[in-house]
Formats: sequence, structure tokens, C-alpha cells
Amino acid sequence: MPCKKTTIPGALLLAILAAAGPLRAATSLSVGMQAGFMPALGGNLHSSTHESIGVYNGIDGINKSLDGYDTSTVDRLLGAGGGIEIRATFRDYFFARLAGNFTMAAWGGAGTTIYDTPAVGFTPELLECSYSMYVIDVPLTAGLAVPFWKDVRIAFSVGAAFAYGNYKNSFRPESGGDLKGKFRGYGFPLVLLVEGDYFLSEKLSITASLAYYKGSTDIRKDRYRTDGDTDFARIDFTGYRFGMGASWHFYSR
Amino acid sequence: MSSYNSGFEVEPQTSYILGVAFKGNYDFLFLRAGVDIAFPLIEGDVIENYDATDPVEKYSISYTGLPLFVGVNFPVFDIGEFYLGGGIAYFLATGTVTHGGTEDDISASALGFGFIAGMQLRLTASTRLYMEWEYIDARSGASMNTAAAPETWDNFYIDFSGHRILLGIMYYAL
Repeated sequence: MPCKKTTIPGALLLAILAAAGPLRAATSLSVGMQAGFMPALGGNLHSSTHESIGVYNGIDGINKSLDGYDTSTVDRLLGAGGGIEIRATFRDYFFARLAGNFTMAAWGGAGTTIYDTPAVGFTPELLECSYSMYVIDVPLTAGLAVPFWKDVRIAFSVGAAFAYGNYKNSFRPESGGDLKGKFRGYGFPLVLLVEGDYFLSEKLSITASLAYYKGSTDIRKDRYRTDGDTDFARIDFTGYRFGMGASWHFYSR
Repeated sequence: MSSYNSGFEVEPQTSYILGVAFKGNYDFLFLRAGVDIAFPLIEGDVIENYDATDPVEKYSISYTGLPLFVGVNFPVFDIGEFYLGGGIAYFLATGTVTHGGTEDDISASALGFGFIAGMQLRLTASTRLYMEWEYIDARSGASMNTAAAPETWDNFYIDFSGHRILLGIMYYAL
């Protein structure tokens, strides 16, 4: 485990140095900020505790309803977040981008469902459910940029991110008890990114970006020790992220 | 429905969409709304079902979607424009699900989130040809019972998540 703790900052330092070296050859540099959202943050958030209550597809299969039971839908998580980016273009058409983002659950992930206790026949019981998650990621991508005079630039790039995730769930049956899961871990998801710049002036542009991440952690063990339940889950970084913001183009030659 | 049950081998439904779109541009920003009505082109089919407790066989869903996106326009000279935006959509669906040899009606609604990426080509001063790619993630709550007895609860949901490709002509009134 100590090896992992030193590997993370080491990998980050290497990534920054790898990106910083070629910057001397850049024809333009910019720094920007973006805010945006990610539908279905964490995917279906499945964990092994779901299977002990008869659910095999996480937050998607958790919902059940029946007359006489006061249930409410548990929606997938909507992530909201923001970040900063540093971009460089080389020879006008070649593009590299390093960013840092924070995304957290902003909507969904809470409600009441029912589950069965089959040992005594079909006897549904209310179950209060809660899911939350946040992700910190540092994507490094490179690709092509197409400028349309000095008004617009559209860039397409691919790469990978270092992504750290923290995922929690909680299931509270009406009869008592609280099954909690807490997971954290990191992975290196693949990143595809398309980003557009609308230049308000030579130095300032409005940006919009669409990114697709594909990847997850390995299977992580629940870090709650006192609830009598040991859970296992992956933290899934897969999904689309949309962002809008502004960029300051502080260097060009 | 491929996310619904890992014990299913599914040929998912493919739909065609008819609708109207509204787009307003203000400087670099745009607002895009619309009404989309989707009809089944190929009905959904559970080819193999390894879960005896949930005997779903096939399904056919129609829906109306009301999307609303906000984003940034990237005009390209006087040829047209690219645009990229994010937003929400509300879905209202009706259809049928065949399970255990019986066909039941289903209705459901959901709120979803997603993005739009599009391009427009100028045909005349006031008309443009457009093509758009939308992705919206939306899923209803439990809306009908398909689970085998003795479970009588509603367990089946409609997942509206997916990619949509739209092609059309847009008339600019202003």
C-alpha cells in the first residue's frame, strides 16, 4: 500500500513534466475554467450488497413499488462540477490539453423502495436508499485543432485521465439496521474530447466541451467496518461530460 | 433495455423520430427546444432469458420527448455553424410489454439529462439544413409488474437513455 501512495503524486509529477517540456515549442497557450455536468455519474453504482437484497443492476434495479407502500423513485446520479484547463497548440493545428476537474453528485440517488425477505414468504419491507459520489480527475489529451480564421476553433483530442473516485451507499430497512458502503480508488480512464472556442477577442474565448470517459477502478472493498456488512464495488468513471466556460489566451506567436 | 436485467440477451428496440425543433441564437449562445415523437421501427425482443423470475419476452414503446438545450454556437463564415450544448429532456411513454405469455400496457415518464452536438448548412438566407446528435440519459421508476409470483410489485422500468440522430430543415423567422 505505501507504494501506491507514492505512485500517485509521482505519476502526476511525471505527467506535468511531460506536458511542460514541449510547451516551449507551442505557438499559443491558454488557461481556462469550465463548469458542467455528467449524466449517470458512477454508472449503475452496483455493489455486492445489492445482490443480498435481490438487485443485480445497482441503482437501476433498486426501484420497486406496490400499493400500500410509500415509495419514491431513486434516480441515477447527476454529477455537476467544474475545473481548470491549460491548452497548447503547436504549428496551429496540433493541440494538447491538461485539465483538473471536480465532479460531485448534485441530483438523484435518494428514495424509498421495497425489498423482499423471502425466508418468511413474500413480505415486502420499505428500504430507504441513498447514493453519493465525487470524482477528481486530471485528463491529458492531444489531437488536432481546426481554426476558422480568428473567430472559431474546434479541437478533437484523445488521451487518458488519472481519476480518483469516492462512492458511498446506504440501505436502511424499515425494521432497523443500516447497511453502508464506502469505497474509494483510482483508475486511468480513456478520454475522448471535442472542444470549441468562440473568440470574443484575440485573448478571450468562450468554450464548450464534450468528453467521453471509459474506465473504472478495480473492485474495491467497503471501508465501513461497523455495520456488519462487507460490500464490494467498482467505481465507474464511464460517461459523457458536458462543460462550458471561458479561456484566456495569454501567449501566442 | 439492455441495462434492465443481466440475465437477458436483448435485441433492443430501434425507433424513428418525427418532430419539430426550435432554435434561438443570441450572440454566441443558443437555446434549442423541440417536441420529438418516437415510434418503434424494430420492436424490442428478449432473445434469451436466463432469469426465470422475470419472464419478459418482448416490448414496444412509443414516447414523446421534450428536450431543452443551452450551449455555444461556432459559426463558420457564411457557410453555417457547429453548435454544442447541454440540457434536460422530459419523456412520456406508452406501450406494451409481453411477459409470461400475456401482453400488458405500460405508461411511464422520466426526466433526463444530456447533450446535443449539431451542424447547420446555409441553404438560403432563411433556411438551413441541419444534422444533430443527441444523447440523453433518462430512466423511469418502476412502472409495471413483470416479476413472477408471488412478487406482485412493480419492477419493470423504461430506460430512455440513448443516442438520437436528427436530420431536418430549419427556417429562421428572424
